[in-house]
Amino acid sequence: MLHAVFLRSPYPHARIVGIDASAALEIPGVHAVLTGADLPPEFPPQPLNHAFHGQRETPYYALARDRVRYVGEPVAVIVADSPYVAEDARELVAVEWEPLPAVASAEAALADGAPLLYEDWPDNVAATFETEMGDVDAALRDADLVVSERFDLARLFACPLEGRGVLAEWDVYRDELTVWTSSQIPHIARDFLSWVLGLPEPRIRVIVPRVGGGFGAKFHFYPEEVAVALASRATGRPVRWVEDRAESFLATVHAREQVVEATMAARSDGVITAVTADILGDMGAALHTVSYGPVWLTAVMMTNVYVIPNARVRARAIVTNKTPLGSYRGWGQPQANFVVERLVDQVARRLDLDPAELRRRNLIPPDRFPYKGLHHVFDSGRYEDCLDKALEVAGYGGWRERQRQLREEGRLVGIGLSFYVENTALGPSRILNAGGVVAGGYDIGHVRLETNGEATVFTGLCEMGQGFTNGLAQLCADELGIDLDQVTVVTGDTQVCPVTGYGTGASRSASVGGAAVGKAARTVRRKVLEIAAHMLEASVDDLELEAGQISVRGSRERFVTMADVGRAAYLRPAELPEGMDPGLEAIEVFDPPQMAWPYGVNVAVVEVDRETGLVSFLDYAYVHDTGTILNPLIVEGQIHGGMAQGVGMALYEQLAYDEEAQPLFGTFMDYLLPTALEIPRPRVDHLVTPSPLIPGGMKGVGEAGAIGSPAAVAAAVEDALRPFGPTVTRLPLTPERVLAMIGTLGRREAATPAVEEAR
Amino acid sequence: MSRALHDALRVRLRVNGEAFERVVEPRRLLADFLREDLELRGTHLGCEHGVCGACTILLDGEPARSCLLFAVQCDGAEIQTVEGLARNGELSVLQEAFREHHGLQCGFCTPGFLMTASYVLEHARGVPGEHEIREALAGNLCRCTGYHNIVDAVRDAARRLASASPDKEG
Repeated sequence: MLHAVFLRSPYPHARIVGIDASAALEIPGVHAVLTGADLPPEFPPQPLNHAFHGQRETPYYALARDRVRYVGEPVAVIVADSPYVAEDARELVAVEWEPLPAVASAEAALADGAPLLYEDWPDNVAATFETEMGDVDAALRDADLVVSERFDLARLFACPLEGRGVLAEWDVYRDELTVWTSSQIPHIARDFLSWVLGLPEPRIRVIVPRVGGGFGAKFHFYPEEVAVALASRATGRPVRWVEDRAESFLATVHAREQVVEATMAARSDGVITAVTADILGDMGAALHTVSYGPVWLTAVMMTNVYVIPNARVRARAIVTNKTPLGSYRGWGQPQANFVVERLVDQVARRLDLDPAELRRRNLIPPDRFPYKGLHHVFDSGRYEDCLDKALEVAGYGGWRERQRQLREEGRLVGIGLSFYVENTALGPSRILNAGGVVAGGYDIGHVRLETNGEATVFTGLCEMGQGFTNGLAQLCADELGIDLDQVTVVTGDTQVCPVTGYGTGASRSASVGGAAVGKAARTVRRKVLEIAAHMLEASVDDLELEAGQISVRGSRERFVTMADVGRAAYLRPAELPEGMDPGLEAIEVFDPPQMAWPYGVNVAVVEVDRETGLVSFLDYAYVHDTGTILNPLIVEGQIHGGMAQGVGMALYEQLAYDEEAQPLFGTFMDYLLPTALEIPRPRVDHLVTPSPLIPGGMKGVGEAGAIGSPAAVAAAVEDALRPFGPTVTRLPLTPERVLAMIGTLGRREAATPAVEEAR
Repeated sequence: MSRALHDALRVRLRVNGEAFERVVEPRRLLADFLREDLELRGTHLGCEHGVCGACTILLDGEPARSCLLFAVQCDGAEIQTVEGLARNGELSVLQEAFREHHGLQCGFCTPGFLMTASYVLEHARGVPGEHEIREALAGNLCRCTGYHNIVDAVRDAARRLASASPDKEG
């Protein structure tokens, strides 16, 4: 096996004048150096999974051809006996650059005379999406109150602790390519490899072993996956590339960064009448696999969980000289939640209403489901029950009382809450396709009962720690009446597993994948019962299936085991009913009729240290409804993890660039992930309202924790700083920003100097 | 590149009680040495700059980052890696507690947490409190769990170990 390393652009924007790899190739142990010049002229750019109406093309290649548009863009791949030797050789690859002026933010990209990333475009706008409902202008005119704010959300990234890795073996004699890759989309990756490399899909096998965290970042098809395959073809050897942390910061998609100018209108009784938002998504240098999907999702989620009859949104996807932006837990939902919930809090403040009470007056009532909002149809919900339960679990009234006392002692204690809804069970296919997704929304489950009476589940979904394999095994075991330990789940191998329409993302594994596996297991169960009925000379209707045995109701001594049935199906087909085919397996498809919508409430209680600006947690309550819960431990684990990432977004994480678009990050000393000391332990509770759309009633929970937590923490900090009067509109809330809001570190310009009533 | 960087040196050390001898370049990281030369791939590399803690091993009984050490620095050392925790196919009390408490999701950071926590449990007087455990684990990053179930697992393991050897109590 050979090892690859990548030479990456040190410039945010430059022309490649020439590359001389001759000195590198002189080093013993170096086998090849490939550059963009080695790609044939017709070599296709990286394909996209999402093609929204009207989006411009931003072609980029496995290796940059003549121009780079961000620091970290792959320019050459060096293949050697070890990564150490390959890195030595990389030092000797001489690139002649012609630096070009760069743009470092969406706003700079829109300025008059800004450098263009794509010279055949009139500006740097890759796409614009607009939608509206109702009569927004009338609502704004008639409103008793209008609040407007500008929100700034920092660039972050999913940052799975295991970076990416690719191992490719291209057998040129058999014309077969096998790629092991750290991915959430094995089938999409296989198809994309086929399109780019010109090898038929069945000749490509993509294998995804257990993945060390993905959170969306691995829902992308990366240049390295193509370049490593090309390196294998060029050398005739298997080639491995393992991303190191330094390149992970630059080469794995970034996320979240938006500037949003938004307005909310309300009546004096607190009823919200309109919302508008103008969103700038900083896409970085190109539209990556999911295009500007996260920015689009922010736009269409702008009414959140509320009955807001009038809404107008515009989202623009702007290209800049930064790492391409892509998926991260929640896609665009944490941003939308932050904007809407922050506006709701401003309305509450202005009307002097409790934020919980203001929300209560606007929640979608239970009898309005299915509810069509700005874009989506919400399936079900008991929002007010959830709010009540959250306030009870949080001890909300008690905390308000304590807050009064603590404020009198001079302590800066704040309580913040947010209400979120999460888009799960993605599909359905017809909606995804209509929206421009070049993939289905279905999932296919394959269940096989084996000769020994145990079952194997095959799924195209990928296990990256979220634990859905356990959920699928439970569903299968329940249907077949066998032990959990008797189910083996096989994932992520395109040559063995059925196609998953969309891949592993959008909190769809348990709901869509689970429904498909449940359906397949039920089909197998029916055949098991037919075989057993024949063996027992009984009617199917009289049989009971439990603990691996099929018995005749009322006479337990008349039974056969699952192993008996398995043996009959495969080894002794003569024992099967007349005309029945041997074998005991089923492949079933589930394409949901609509998406499912879990929801929940975060209540954060924080204290701000007025000397250091540090935020610490006094309490945290999290109450949610994700439909049927397959495994409470796993569901709670997802909440814990998502919430931790939301707290990171609220307080610590940002990928900062300077004005020349040079990154100001590169290690965990400047990109701060929260540790065990920073994350509050949430008191988690739940309601269960099964989804009417999903057999089994599961919704999804993968992203929930990350969606509502940033807004709740921001609200709590704002509430803690009430004596100083600032409005929290920017994340992360670094100590510098907090101190600026307190006024001890240069007062924030917009903050009013007047100290508000402390109570 | 100086010549000396490439002149191979002999390293003799013990890993999980077993003696090994290899000839390696002086620049070979201990982590790469363990993973590639000894094929002990339980030690994971999460950052290669000593922050994330995934590569934590015990070097002569003390936690150390194997990404910040060269193999040649460890000549003569006694090293423990995550592979040494389970005995005869039985998970250690700590590992079992991680499993029961859902203390891992993707599992990438887990070897580092296990090694740090095994050191903590080894040296704890009695059952450490929650905050004490959180402080001890704050040098290890996890992106999946939010840490609470890890803390619970360590605490539970500490309780079980304390009740198994009452002399450790207090």
